[in-house]
Amino acid sequence: MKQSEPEYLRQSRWAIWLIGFGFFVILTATVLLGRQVVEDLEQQRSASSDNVQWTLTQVEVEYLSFLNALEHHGHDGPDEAADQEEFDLSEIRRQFDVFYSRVDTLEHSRLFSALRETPEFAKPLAALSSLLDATVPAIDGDDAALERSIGDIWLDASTLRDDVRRLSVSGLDFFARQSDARRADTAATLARLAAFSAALLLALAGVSVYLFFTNRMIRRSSARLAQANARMNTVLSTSLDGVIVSDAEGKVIQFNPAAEAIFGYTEADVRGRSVGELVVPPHLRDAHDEGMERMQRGGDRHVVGKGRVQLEAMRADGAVFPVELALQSATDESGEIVIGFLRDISRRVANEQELISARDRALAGQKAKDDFLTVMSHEIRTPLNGIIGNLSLLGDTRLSADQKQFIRNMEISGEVLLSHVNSVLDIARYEAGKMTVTREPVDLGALVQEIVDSQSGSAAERGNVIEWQWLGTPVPWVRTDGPKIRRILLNLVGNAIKFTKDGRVSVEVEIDGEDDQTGAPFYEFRVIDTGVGIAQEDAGKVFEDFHTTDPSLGRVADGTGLGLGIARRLARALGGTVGVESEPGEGSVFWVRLPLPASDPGLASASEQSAAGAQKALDLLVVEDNEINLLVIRKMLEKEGHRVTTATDGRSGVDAAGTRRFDAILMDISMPVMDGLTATRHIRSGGGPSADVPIIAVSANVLADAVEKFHQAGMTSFVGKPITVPALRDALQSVTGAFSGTDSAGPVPTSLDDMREDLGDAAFERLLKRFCEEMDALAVQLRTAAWQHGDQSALKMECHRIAGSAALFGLSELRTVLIDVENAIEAAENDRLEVLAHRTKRLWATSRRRLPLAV
Amino acid sequence: MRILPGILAGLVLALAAPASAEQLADPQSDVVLTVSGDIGLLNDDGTARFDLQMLAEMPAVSYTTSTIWTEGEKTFVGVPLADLLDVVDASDGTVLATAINDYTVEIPVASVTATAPIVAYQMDGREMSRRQKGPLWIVYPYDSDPEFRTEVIYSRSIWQLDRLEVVQ
Repeated sequence: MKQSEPEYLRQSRWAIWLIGFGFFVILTATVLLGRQVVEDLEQQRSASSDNVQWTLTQVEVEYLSFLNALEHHGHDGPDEAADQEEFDLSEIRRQFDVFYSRVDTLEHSRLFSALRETPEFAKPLAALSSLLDATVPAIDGDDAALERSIGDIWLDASTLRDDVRRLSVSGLDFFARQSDARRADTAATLARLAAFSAALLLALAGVSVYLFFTNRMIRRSSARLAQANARMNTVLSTSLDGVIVSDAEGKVIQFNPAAEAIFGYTEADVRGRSVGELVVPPHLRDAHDEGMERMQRGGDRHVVGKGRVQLEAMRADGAVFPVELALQSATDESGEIVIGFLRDISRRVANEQELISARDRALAGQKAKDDFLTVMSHEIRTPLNGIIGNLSLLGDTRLSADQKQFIRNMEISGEVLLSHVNSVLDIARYEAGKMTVTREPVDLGALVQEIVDSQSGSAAERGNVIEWQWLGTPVPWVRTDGPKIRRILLNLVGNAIKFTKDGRVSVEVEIDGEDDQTGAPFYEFRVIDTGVGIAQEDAGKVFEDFHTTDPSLGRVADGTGLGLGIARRLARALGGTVGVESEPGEGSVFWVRLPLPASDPGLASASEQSAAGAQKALDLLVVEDNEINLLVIRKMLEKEGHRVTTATDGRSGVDAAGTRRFDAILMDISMPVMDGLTATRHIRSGGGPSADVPIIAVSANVLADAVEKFHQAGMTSFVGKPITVPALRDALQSVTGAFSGTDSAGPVPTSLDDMREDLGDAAFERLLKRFCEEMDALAVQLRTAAWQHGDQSALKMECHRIAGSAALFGLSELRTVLIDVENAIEAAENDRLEVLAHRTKRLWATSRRRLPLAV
Repeated sequence: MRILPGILAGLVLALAAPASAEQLADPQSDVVLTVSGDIGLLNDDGTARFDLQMLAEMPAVSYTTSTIWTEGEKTFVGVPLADLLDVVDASDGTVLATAINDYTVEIPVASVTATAPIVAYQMDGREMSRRQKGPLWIVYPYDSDPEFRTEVIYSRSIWQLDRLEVVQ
């Protein structure tokens, strides 16, 4: 307000200056003129004039009196009595003197000085004067002489009659004109005075009008102000927020009804009291007082004018509650005031806290679930792998036909169980946000064909026919994540087969529209079955995790209820959607819509090669520090017909990769000298002949973030430990397209006998002996004092290495414990480590006795 | 403004003796002023007559002032009219002053102050002849105050004065 003065105020200031100046000028003129008029009047009053007219006429009168005296004497003649005569003479003398004196006045008085300048007056005056002067001697002479000369004097004097007349007339005329001029002058001055007075009056009138309008304007604006005030008071009194107005010292000036309701005071109670004592809780009072003092000093303001702040306030009963507060300062006639808007947010804060804790509980629950799933899957998968591996070993022994069938059944169950566990792991990975999408050219026709082929067996088991077809023009080559689409379709098809008995499952692929944003065509995959169908109300739920439509059906169609949930997650990860349309009793249509950009046909694709069933011997490099593991892998691969080169640490692996181009490299992760990730980076960036060949990570760590790390390092694929032949085969097939036709490839040599058979007695015993030595050494290191003060990272590496060997010798329990020890060291959980160390030593003591050690 | 009140203390004392007598002294030479009318002190049957000597013996006041009828500044010496009226024991009413040509003016006694006007009998140290508006002339100190430069004052400044009459 201070900086910008309203326009009308500036104008009126100018107007006041102008009017003031005008007034000053007019007033000065009026005063000057008034003074002139007063002077004029004064002059006329003091009138030098006296009675000039009187004097002038008196000249004639006195002249005639003089003549009369002379004539009187002459008339009477000398016959008169002597005293009479004497009287006559003295009368003549007296009249002469009077006349003389009069003329003398005319000659010398300054009243007549201007008149004397005019010849009409000067000439007769001179004549008169000379006559009088000439007569003086006779008058002053003795009576006799005067007597004698009376006649002459009369003659001379009477000739001057016309002069006297002219003298007085011209004088009167002159003075008449003079006074005319003076009157005209005065009249002019008066006229000017009148004019100026009129101007002054006019100016006054103008000012009056101006003042009238100004006054009206002020009255109007004050009315507006009063209105605004009233409005403001209404706003204040109806405000839902508490409003407290205080002066600069914190004394309450205003306390609106909302504030009364919030704090439990009435305005009358609090007016003039200190805000701090009323509403600031004791623990904030020091800060409040400090803030007030700072404000009074004109220092920094922490709250005033800083927008909304959340603080605590105190009610009349002393209860402290949270408020949202905004302070602003303003200036009124009494100085600075502070206006506070307060909102009781205790309910909101309570709600928020409840929400937060609910969310925290939910998150914690979700996290616990995810952790549980991940851990359980992992914990289940490891022994399951053991069961499956041992089953395949058992299958290779001499068995009766029944036993073979039992083993076959167990293997099938094992595979199903493993796929369920893998599903759960997939979900856990997806929920952890670790799912990555890799896009490469994929032949959709081949992919769908492959699925139909692979599922035809299980379809046939349930009396179902399975088929697929393109609708419209086939455009099979797209860039996408083939394994994910394969998984989606497998789940949908598997689901369809499960719920259809003696019916038909058909898969349709059709291009239908395109994505608005990327312009990629939408591919719609439809899996149509003639099965039991889904009730309308269940259609929305089938994609939920662990959903099974009907518990009884769930028995018939074994399933975790995760398949469709995984399909939906994967479809979303690819930017698409899934859905279902169904008619109970008639069947269902599950569809997937995915935006898939077209692609050039890929190079010889895995599926084509697999379709062709080409057998190819690969040139492979295996990098693995554990001699036993290395030996096992090597045996497996050589049995598959591949040529194997080995390296025992990352460094030598990198060197070996630099010598020639391998078809693929299998790389352990934890290795001395240089770990697998670093070695992979070196190979990828080194520009050597093997810089771009597939590198398969070999690790016991199958957790999502670990796998992610492998990918980041540049690894192509991943095989979990312990290694099985089919897993190895799959991995090689997926990264190289190589396909080993020998389906009857030997199982994993994880039985001690098979190992002995594979390696030969000497080598086996040497390896076993070495393993025992290493394990004995480790047991010593695991004594408390040793691990507490020794090199923990070396201990960790040792555990990791020996764990791999333990698996090979069938000591899975020992392996698990060693991995636990490794993890405990990693996590620096010393308490747990102590327990695990004891368990390891105990376990080793019992396991050692079972080993066929040559004494 | 040069009012020089030449009050001659010795003369006042000299006058005090005859004044205390019930009668004004008789004039010894030509009578120049006859006071008549409502007066207390007389030296004749109904009038108080003064010659120049009698006036000259009374306390004198002198002005040096210009007049509108003469040239330059003149120094007048005369008897304050107030003193003269005191002498004839006239305290209120109006004085009718008449000149030798019977020209008469009215001077209210109330307007007469201790020093103005004077009945002048000397101008520039000499007695005034009739031709010089003498022998007596009622004169005000015109230059000393604008109050003395008004038409009324000018009209009261009668020259060739020879009679005063005090009327109620």
